[in-house]
Amino acid sequence: MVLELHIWGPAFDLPSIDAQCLAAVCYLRKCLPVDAWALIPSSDPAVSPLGELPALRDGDSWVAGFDNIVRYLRDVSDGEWNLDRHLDESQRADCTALTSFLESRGQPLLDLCLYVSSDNYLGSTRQALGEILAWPNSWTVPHHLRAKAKKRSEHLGLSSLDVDAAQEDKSEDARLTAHIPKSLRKPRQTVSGLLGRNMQKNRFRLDAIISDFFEPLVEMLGDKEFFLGDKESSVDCLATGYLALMQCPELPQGWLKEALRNKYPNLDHWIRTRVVEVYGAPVDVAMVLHQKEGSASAEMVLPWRSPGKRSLPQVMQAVLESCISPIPVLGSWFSISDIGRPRPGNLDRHQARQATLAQLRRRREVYVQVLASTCAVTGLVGWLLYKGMLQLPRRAPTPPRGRSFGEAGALFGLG
Amino acid sequence: MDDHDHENTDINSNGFANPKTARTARTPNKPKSPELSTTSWWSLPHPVKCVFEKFPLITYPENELPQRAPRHQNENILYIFQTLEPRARDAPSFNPSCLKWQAYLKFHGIPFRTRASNNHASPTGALPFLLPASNDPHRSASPVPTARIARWVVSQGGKEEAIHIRQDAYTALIDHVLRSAWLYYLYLDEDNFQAVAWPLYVASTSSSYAVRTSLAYQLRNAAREELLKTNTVIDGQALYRRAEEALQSLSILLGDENFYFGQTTPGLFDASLFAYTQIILDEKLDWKQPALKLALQTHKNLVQHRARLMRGFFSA
Repeated sequence: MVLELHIWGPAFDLPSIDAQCLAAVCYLRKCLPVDAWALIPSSDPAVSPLGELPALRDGDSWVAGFDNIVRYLRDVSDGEWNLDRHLDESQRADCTALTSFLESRGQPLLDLCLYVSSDNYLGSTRQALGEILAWPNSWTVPHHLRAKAKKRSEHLGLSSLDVDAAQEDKSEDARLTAHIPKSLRKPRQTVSGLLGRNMQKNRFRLDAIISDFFEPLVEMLGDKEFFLGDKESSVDCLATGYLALMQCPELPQGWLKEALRNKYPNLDHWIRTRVVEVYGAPVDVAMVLHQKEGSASAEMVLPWRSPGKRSLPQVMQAVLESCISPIPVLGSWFSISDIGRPRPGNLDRHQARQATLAQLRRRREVYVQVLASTCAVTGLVGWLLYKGMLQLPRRAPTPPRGRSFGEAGALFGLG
Repeated sequence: MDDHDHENTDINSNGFANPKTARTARTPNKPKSPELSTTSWWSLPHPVKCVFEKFPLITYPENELPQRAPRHQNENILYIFQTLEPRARDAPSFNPSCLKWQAYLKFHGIPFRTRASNNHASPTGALPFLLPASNDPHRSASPVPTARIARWVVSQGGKEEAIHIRQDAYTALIDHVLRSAWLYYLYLDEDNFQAVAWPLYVASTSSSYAVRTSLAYQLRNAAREELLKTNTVIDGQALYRRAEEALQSLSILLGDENFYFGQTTPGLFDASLFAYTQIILDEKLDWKQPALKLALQTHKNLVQHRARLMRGFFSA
């Protein structure tokens, strides 16, 4: 059985635009024989019932997320496909800690660099996303990803990198901060300020955040080839994913790349060698997506397979979903956010989760179809009525029966 | 006849107890003298006067100072989430981030007083914050928000903690993995929310049903939003599983030591972990779905770590 790894598509010469996907690619390449898996740049989270990428498909079952994929491969292969098997107890503890460190600190930094910073987003990331996404996702998904990235990184207090937001916030500023003592106020940047001296201030804060992320990694790596022990482990793959995305892209505001190159040359060297070793030569987007014919399959180190064409109903579904999700109340109700308590059963955890999500999704599709057909029917009937092609059966006006005043009425001629 | 007269006089004597009024009643047609009319106009009628002679009916005690007026200006005050029972003045807070800093200040031997408060009172919108002792009795010192407490402690003569090599990685384990599981455990698990979070955070704030309902909704929604930042779908079992691994790793890191990283005194890292373990293991809280509690109880050294800190710093 060939395992299928579905990921966000290639960008910036790397196989994927997402760090978790890059990490998963790295892990599978290190772990599995090359004919045992296929890499599919589907760039659509709806491809699996889990609604998340990277997603690994093994026959009917799906697993999503780097962490879960590592665990799943370990479970199905009886420990054979497990890079962490050589770790001792304390290294395993370090592995868990470092994994959560990379995920919780690395992602906000990437969000700042690729999405929040207006220059980088408008100049690079949006184009890169546009190349790998199919219509209608290419219209909605980049904004969606950016909004999510802003939310994830807002605790770092650097939203001012985003010039659009700085303009919007300017008006609210005076009113909101009136009650807050001066010493506690956070200055909000304006566009002019951003271009001027506040850029320096931002740089200081950015440098602090960057060193908070890189320094522990440098300490843990030291002069070794791998983070834990003398063999490769899952942490190395995860670090490769995050660091590759920090090191490779040529961005208009390249502060992250510069910092890595200038201040942490060891780490920079490590990631450069890793990228060449793991992902091979720079990835050509058009060739991978089979938009361009080429005899390149021989020189590709990764087992690429082009994503299948989407059927019309799938496209319609995507259009419908992208229309519904921004509607305030309906949208939040429509998106699946919580899978609730597990139902008792003999399914294992992966299957249980997948089954629950699939069921929620099916139910939601039924609702959407009912809603859509109700709207369509209402519209059609309304139009027909308006045009007069359809008429409501009107009751014939019955002549009003006059009140009877009896004999006196008759006398006055009222009867 | 006699009886009737008697009754009449009785009525008269009762009805016109005031001789002045009785006189005017007897001579209704006689024009009033100007002097008499002014007195009757300006002087109070007798019954009203009687009432006023009894004044003041009650003397209220002095108003208390407004709540924002500093009362213990010469002491450091830490504003945290805390139960309002008077005997629990120094008890550990029931909110992890408050308890972390409460414990941290205690570890560093900074004298302070705690005061129960809520997020709406904080200048940054989040508890805890610290109001340092002020030397000038007329001006209170400016508050220290959460992010600057560590720096403030150093400025007060506390020793600066060295950062250990793997501390950042393990801190991420507490702040990210354990916190996510905690958010689910307390807020999103329906049974636990009703049993624990409702009395602590909701019922203590207001007695109005509408306010309570909306506050509960806000709390749970905030927790959900926070979890959705890092998870596509909130899966409680997955969060618990990761938390179990995190506790396992933290237990291995602690080993047989008394405190983390081989220190002789507890530091910030111990405070961060204690903030969660204390609340998860607190016997007073009645968890209905005790997944995290059970997971934590399997690690004996973490349970002992919590007990050690509880004995050493919160035994009063």
